[in-house]
Parts: sequence; structure tokens; C-alpha cells
Amino acid sequence: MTERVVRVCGLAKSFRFGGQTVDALREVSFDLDRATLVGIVGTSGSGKTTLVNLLGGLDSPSAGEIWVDGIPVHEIPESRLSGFRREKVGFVFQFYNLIPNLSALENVALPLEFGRVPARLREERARQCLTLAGLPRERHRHPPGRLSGGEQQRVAVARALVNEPAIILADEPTGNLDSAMSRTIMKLLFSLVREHGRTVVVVTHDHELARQADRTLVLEDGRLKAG
Amino acid sequence: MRNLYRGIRNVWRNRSRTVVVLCILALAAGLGLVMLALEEGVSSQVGAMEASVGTMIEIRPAGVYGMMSLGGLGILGRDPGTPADDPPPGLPTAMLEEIAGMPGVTTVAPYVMTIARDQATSTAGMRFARGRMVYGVAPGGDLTVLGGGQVEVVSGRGLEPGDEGMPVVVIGTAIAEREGVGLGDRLLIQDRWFRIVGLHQSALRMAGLGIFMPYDVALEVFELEGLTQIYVWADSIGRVDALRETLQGQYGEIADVVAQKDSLMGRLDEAFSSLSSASRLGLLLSLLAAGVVVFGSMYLVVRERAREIGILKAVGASPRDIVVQFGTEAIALSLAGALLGLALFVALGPAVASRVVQAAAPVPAVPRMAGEILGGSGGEALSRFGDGAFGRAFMGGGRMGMTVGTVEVALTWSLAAKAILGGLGLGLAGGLIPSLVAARLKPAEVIRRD
Repeated sequence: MTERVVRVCGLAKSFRFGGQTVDALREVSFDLDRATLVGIVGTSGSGKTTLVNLLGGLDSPSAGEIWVDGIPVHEIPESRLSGFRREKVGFVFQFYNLIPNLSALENVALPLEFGRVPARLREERARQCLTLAGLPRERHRHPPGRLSGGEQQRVAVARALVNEPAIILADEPTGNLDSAMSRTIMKLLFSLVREHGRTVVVVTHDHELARQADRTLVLEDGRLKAG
Repeated sequence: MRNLYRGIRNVWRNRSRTVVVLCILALAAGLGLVMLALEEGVSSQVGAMEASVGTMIEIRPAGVYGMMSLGGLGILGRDPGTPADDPPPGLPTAMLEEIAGMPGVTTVAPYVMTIARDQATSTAGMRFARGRMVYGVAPGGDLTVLGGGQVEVVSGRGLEPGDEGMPVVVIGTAIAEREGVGLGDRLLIQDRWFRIVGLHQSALRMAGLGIFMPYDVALEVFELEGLTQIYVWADSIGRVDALRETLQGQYGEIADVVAQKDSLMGRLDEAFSSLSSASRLGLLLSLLAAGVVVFGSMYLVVRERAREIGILKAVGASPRDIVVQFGTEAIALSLAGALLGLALFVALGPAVASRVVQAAAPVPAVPRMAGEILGGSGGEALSRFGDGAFGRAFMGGGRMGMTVGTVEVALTWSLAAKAILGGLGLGLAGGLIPSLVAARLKPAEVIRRD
């Protein structure tokens, strides 16, 4: 029996630009099951990133409901969204977005640090996740500047995993990598779903990846066209 | 704790900028410390002056200033309209006991000044009247001449308790030479014989011509109606005003009551005000400059690291975590600047302070001012003596002139503590707004920024 981990109902988001209101998302509704890899595809400006930001609590919806792991994200005040993100969401960005003056290990341990997890536990957990993401142990103490793009993205994936989130949101995680490294990262994401039961939402332009996903949501002009 | 650690670590991320910012902060802090030290030095000097001279109150017969019986010589003054032949009133000796019993009074000193006239013969054989200055003081008290200067007993003894009512005098060496008398000899004054128990000397010629005797003897011999002055010392500077008012209330009809601090400290304030104003302005400008530098630097940091702040928030940092991290960075920066400023102060502080003192309160001007202050007690004509011997002990004036030129600026624990607290305060003040701006950044907006 499948377990639902995300529920989105009538979701809408609009922005104001120069006195005009732009609807980035309109009446979007869907459910996601646990331990699936979901691809979100669509042209530029179709609302993919906006949707991921709303799911991850980086932004607040203009209307509609978002439930993640039973939590009504749309009701959480902005001042408390950081707690939700720390406990329920893991992010992987296109440009890795690691903190440059921290080591790989320290970057991965950041969410645990903000969760006030004791230092020894943090390090142990961060090492496990880095190993799982495929970064050799001797590279754990290296700062991002001394890692390749692929290695940095592995660190980013490890950071997204470290707090055992309900969902991992990856916004074009292979967009800045060559094709070989892209395949390696995608394999890593698929393994998180298949072997570790994680739920991963991937925004991508890669149709091959979208085809391999358990489910694909297609966005067009802020509306969900398929999925 | 990790937020604090990260904040401190981040100070060194942009090394070249940090070095520039630290140099500016160190300069501002060093200059600020010099100004603070000067301000403290000035306050300390003024405090010392207040403590030493500010508690004295002078009581003199109403409408009279200068010496009562010297009106004919034109040295003293009386209120306009007072007939020249009227004998000036004196202060009754009964006041001494009454005043001594008042709360807050530590010392009461009676004082009589007059002139003994006798006949002398010039080298050409002409006879003429000549005057000898006579001071009646309390036995056991200081031997103080007109204008407040003290004399030094160089032979024999001064007037001591037990000399009350006794025909004893302490005379200047100049008089002894002129009269051809010495220690133990007798001296005729106003048709009475006095025994010379001591010889005194002073740098001032006028003081060297003075004769000291017990005040009660002076009153009797010169048939004076009362004392020329009474000096009263209060037990604290805070008590002076109340005591002056009490004395004025009680003796206002027959006497004028003047608190020394009112005239002296008022002038002192003038003397120190330019230095004090300069140091305060310098301190304010230093603090302002340091505050602007910390604020500007942290604001730049927040703008540069907006995306990083977004990432930290995305992975779970609360607004409080962000404020603590960036606030710590601002405080670490300010503290480092303050510590470097302390080092700079130790190395260059005295030289800079000396320049500031010279620029703000030229030393030669101050003794002149001090002279005027001291001269005020004995008449404007005496102001030229003010910078040195005049009233050195009596009013501390000579000392004041020198101390302005040598305000000490040394590193003290208090100054170091102020520098560190100032660094903390500056970090908090300068870093608060940028930290709050950082905490309010919306992660969705800043993460996608290039």
C-alpha cells in the first residue's frame, strides 16, 4: 500500500512586477506517494521552480493548500518555516550552493547544526551521508573550491539527505554538469528512492530523466497539464 | 555556539577588505581612546582641584574687599559711596565658635591683616612714617600672606597652639635685616614689645616684609573691631553650597560669603573647556566614523552574501541564527579594531594627546589664567604673581597651571575595559541593522541571484 507524502490542492502563486500581477501558478493540484522519484518538466517560466519553492517552504502560496508529511505548510507563519525546512525538506540546487569557507563535512552538517544536534552525532551522520553520496573520505575535509562540480553536487545531495527529510527537492541538479556526471548524480538520486525509500522531486529539462521518473508533472504557463 | 564560531571565522573571508576595515577601526579606536583619556585626565584634574580648593568659603565684612585698614594706601577696595574715614567693620570673633559648631564644617580660620606704622629715618636723615604688614592668624595654622601665598619658616618656629594672647611674632628675614634684629630678640610694634620666635622667608618681597602674630593679640594691639576675614572649610564639595547659604543667611547683614569654588572652578571650567570640548568632539567623531565603517562593512557583507544567507535559511537556519552569525561577525570585527586601537594608543597615545593639548589649550595661556584667578582673592593688581608662588598651597593655583600642560594619558584597566565595551557596543550598533536585513531576506528570492 502506498503512502501519500505530499498533497497539493488549488495551489496558486502570483507576483507583482512593476505594478502588474503575474500568475506563476494557477489552480495546481496533485498528490505524491512516498518513495517515488517525480520529475517536473516544462518550459522556462512555466512555474517549475515556483512550485518547488512552495513545496519546500521557501515561499508562501497566494492561495491553496500544501501538505507535506501531514503538515499544512500553507498555514505555517514565515517565522517558523525554517523549522519545517530543517526537518522535512532537503534541497539540491543547480549550482550546488555550498558555503565556500566550510568543508564538505561542515556543509553537510549544517542542517543538523541548526537543529542543535550534538557535534559528535552531527559529524557521524554527515560522514555517513557523504559516503552514501559517493564522496571519498579523504575529500570530506576539503572546501568546495577544491572539489569538482560532480563532487560538489554529491556534497549537496548528502546535505539534502542528512536530516532524513520527507522529501528531497532538486532544482535542475544536473544542469551544471557534463552528461557523464549528470548520469552519476541521477543514479544517486534514483538509488535514494529505490534503496533508501526517499521521495525525490526533480525539476529538469532532461527528457531522458523525465522518462525514467516514476511520475512526471508537466507545467505550462503555471498550470498542471499532465501528471 | 557554531553560529558564533562561524561568525568569527567569516571575519577573515575577505582578507584585503578586513585589513582595510581593521586599519580604519584601529585608527578611530586609537584616536577615540586618546580623547577619552584626555577627557578622563581633565576630569581627574578638575576633581583634584575641587577636592583641594573647592571646599573653602571666605567670609569678609559686607562691602569690603582687600585689607580693611589699608584703604588709605589705595590697595583695597570698598563699596562706592562709603565714607573714606569710616572705620571698616570687622567680623566678630564670636562667629568662630558659632561657625565651628555648624554641621559639615571641618576647619574655621580667623584672619587679620593690618599695617603697623612707625617712624623711620632715611639715609639722608629725614624722618618718615613707614608701614609693616601684620597678619593675625590662628596659632597652629598656616602662615598665609595677602593673596593667599604661604611663607616658609626658616629659623625658629611658627605660631603654635598655646601662643594665644602671647606677645610673640614670626617676622620676615627682610624685616629682621632692616630692623637689625634676630631670633629671640624683641621688636616694638604699636608701643608693645614682642618676642621674635621665628623667621620666615618667601620668594615674594611683599611677603618677606610680613609680621605674623596671634590674631587675638593683633585685634587687641591694633584695637580692631573684628576680624578681616574668616576662612571656613566644608567637609565635602557637595556641602559647600548649603553651607554658604547657611552662612549667608546667618551673617548676610554684616558679611559677604563667597565660596572659592564658585569663582575658581568657574574660571577653571573656562580654562579646561576648550580641551574638554576638543576631546569630546574627537571622541564623538571617532565613534561615528567607527560606527559608519562597521555598518558599511557589514551591509556590504550582507549584500555580497545574500545568496549564502538564502542557502542557510533553506537548510534550516532561523532568523535568530542569521542575526547571531552576522552580529557575531560585526562584534568580532569591532573588537579586533578596538584591540588594535588599544595597541595604537599605547604606541602613539601620549604623543597625539600632547599635540591635542597644545592645540586645544596652549600651556602658556593657562598659568596666566591661573594668576588671574588667584589674584582675584587679593586684588586685580596681584594677578601677575598668579602663576607661581602665589597661593600655591592656599589655592593650588600654580599646580593647576602646570597640570593642564601635562594631562596624563596612560593605559589603565578602566580605559581598556571601556575600549572593549566600546568595541562590543559598536559591533552591536553597527551590525544590528545589517543582521536584521540579513534575517529578513527571502530565500526564494536570493538563492537564484547570480
